[in-house]
Amino acid sequence: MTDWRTAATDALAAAVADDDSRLGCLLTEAGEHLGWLLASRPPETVAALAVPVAVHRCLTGGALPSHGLLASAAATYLALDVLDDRMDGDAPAFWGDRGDPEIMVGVQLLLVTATQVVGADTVPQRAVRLTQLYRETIAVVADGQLRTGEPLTASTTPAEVESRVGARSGAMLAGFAELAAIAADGSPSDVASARAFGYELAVARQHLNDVTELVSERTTDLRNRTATMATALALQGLPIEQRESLVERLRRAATDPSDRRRLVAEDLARAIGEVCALIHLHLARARTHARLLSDHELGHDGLDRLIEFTAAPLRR
Amino acid sequence: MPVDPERRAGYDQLRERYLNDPDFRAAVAADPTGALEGVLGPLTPEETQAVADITATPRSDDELVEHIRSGGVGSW
Repeated sequence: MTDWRTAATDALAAAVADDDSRLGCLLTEAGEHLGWLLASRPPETVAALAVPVAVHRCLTGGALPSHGLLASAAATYLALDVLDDRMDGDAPAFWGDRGDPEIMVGVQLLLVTATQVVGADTVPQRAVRLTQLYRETIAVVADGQLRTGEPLTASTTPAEVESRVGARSGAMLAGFAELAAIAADGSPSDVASARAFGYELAVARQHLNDVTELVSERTTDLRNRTATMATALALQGLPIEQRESLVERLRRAATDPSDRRRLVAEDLARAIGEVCALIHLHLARARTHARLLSDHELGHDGLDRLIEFTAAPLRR
Repeated sequence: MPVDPERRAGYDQLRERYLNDPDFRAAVAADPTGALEGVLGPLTPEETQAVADITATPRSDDELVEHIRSGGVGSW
């Protein structure tokens, strides 16, 4: 079976300009970063690619998505990843020596490329449907990106955080899972299950990432006052008059490692445990939809691996 | 959606209670099977797996923090 990681990097290289121009070099650099990433880390890490591959294989008995869909997912992953880094004030994963103008143009080029190629290699009617769905997905994800930028306040609720995570991460993987199911000629029921699988998995992954960052040495979310599930659950568990004080302590903890450790061990410990349970509930839903997709008896190992990749770190 | 409407409604209720009711979250932590069955009815194999995972998640703060530290899964 063709290794999808090689297929994805080849597909992206074929989709972008192959010349020595400044823009061509930018896109080549991005593609090289993706190749390095897929070669050096578990492939499940790049869920924007791993999810559509797993869904397509499940519905077709093992066939990879078209080069167009692979290139589109790869370009979108790269564009949103570097955009995320810039919005968070982190060093970008690639294009580190490029200025903002080049990065902004590079992101535009990647997203335009992704839109152009998502429906390539398929019949015209399906190509139109894939392109339309891709545009709708990106519009929702972009709006979700802006919403996740709204800072944590004393009145931020867990339901608001869940909604923001769903609009950003959830919409992204739901969209690519749906694109793969349509490309695989899945039934309406398959398409709905694929979409739901992508959504539930994405929300679980985002919550896991956020608690991982909270207990690690990374301080991006605290520095940016990002509203995460653990902080929202902790706020909700406090009397109203104590919530502002916790928000202020979280802000200070971004620059004070000892205060950060104390917060995690004392004030946020219960909320972190509650987030872990929430992650498992989302994964239960993802498992259900994976099983519904596997009614074709074509196997769903790839879907299971994605779920296990998220569940395993939380097991004793 | 292929999942039956009654189950979907149950999950909507579960999400609503979990995200809004600290007492319900404490009940899930103390007795995940009882709390989930109280909302969803008899559990499916996937939900039974979730209960096993919730039960297997480390309880002590240090243990939990140590497990989560090794848990990065990628951004997108």
